[in-house]
Amino acid sequence: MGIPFDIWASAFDIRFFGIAQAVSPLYCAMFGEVCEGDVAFQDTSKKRVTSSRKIAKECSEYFSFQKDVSLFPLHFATEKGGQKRMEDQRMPSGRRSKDSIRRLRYKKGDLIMKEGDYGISIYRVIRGEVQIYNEVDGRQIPLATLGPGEVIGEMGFLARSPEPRSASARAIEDSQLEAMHPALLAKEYEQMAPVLKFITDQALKRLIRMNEWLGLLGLKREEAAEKRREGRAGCQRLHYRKRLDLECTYRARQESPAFPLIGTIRDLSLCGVRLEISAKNARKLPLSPEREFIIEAVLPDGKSVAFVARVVRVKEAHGKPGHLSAGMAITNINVGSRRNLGFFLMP
Amino acid sequence: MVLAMPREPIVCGYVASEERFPDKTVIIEEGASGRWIYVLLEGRAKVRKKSGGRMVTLYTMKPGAVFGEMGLFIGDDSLRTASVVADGPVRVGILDYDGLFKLYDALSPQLKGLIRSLFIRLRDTTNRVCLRVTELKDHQGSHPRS
Repeated sequence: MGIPFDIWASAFDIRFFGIAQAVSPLYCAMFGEVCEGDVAFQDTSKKRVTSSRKIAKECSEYFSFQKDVSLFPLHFATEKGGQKRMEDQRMPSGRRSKDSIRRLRYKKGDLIMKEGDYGISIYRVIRGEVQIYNEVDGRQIPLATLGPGEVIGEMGFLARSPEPRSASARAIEDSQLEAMHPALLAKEYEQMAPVLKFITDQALKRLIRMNEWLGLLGLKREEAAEKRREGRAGCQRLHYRKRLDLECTYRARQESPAFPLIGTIRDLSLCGVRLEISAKNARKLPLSPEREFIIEAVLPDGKSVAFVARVVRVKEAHGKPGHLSAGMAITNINVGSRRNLGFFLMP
Repeated sequence: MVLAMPREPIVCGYVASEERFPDKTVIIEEGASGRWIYVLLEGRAKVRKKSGGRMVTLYTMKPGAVFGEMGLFIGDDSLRTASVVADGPVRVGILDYDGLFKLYDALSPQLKGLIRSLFIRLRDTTNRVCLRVTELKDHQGSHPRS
């Protein structure tokens, strides 16, 4: 059922009026803020529809430099309260902070939080069991099962980021949870002995690092699985190769005669080149395997490149009698040439 | 005597005693019991963890880093979850456990729960990282890259 609403986003000094409807488990008891869940908002003209998730996102810029969880600028009130009540409840303080711990009961199977939703509360399991899971392609992948004493939603609080919930939580038994407004803990957390704060911050940094590493390993694992799926058939080309018909000069490296001869580059990549030369030139300067040559050319885009390449294999040029074709590996290329070549080779 | 202060003098107030270890000394051994909490004052130390017959180096600590603290926050007489090995000669401070415990114990049950769950999550995530690392290495071992 929809309820009339009046939202005041203090960061923008904007007020919205309309009808609000919960679209996921909604919990907005504290300070008139949406503490958990998602609400669809429809303005009075019923044209623009927004959601608390979206508003949270819009406010997050403000939030990120505000760096104070207790000042989340989104306030939510029903018709009964009105502006006055909202102002009263802007800052949790004194007597009110005692009320900022709420006991919430959930039946077996009840959703507590939904992945992707906006929520700022921290939950502590008092009784029962809660499952944390991710939803991938409609499948639920359980991440952890939490029992009494364990906490959900602490990362968002410690990392001070208004990120959406990264996982869903569901009661898998009749459960009782304690929901805390982050403002309550923020004060105590700030006033905590510096030594504890130092150790906690350090642990948080380590955890963030481990999470990043875990993400990276996940990617690597997928890549490895992909490779295995592709099988060993066919080798993968690491560099893009372009076919060319480009005149170049080549000369032997550290050997006489060092005068340049004219050849044709047939194809070129960042790691190798196929050079076509006439038999006459080949007699002057044999392209024997393992021999290194300095090759210079002006690419069709006008940029020049120079590099050292080692002969790997020589054969007769296909369809061009009297010409030899040499497959060469680039062994040395300076930064400038490499950049020019890289740009040229881009698909 | 001039002491090279770690970047965080906050922790220094809790240093009960100091010790020096030569290179490669195992300061904390994984699986052993023990509750001492250390702070690295000089030098570097590596955090290592056994996983599937391999040794995974998790990170290298710099002066100022506190280690061996997990037991205090998780608090179920848990064994050491990782080894700490000196990487070059080191000087470490041993922190006053009881003093720290008193500070931690005085916090509200909510904040204690939050901090405890942070450390549990760190422990579990580290375990998962180690598992994945060895899993990946095992795969690479059985499918060498051509």
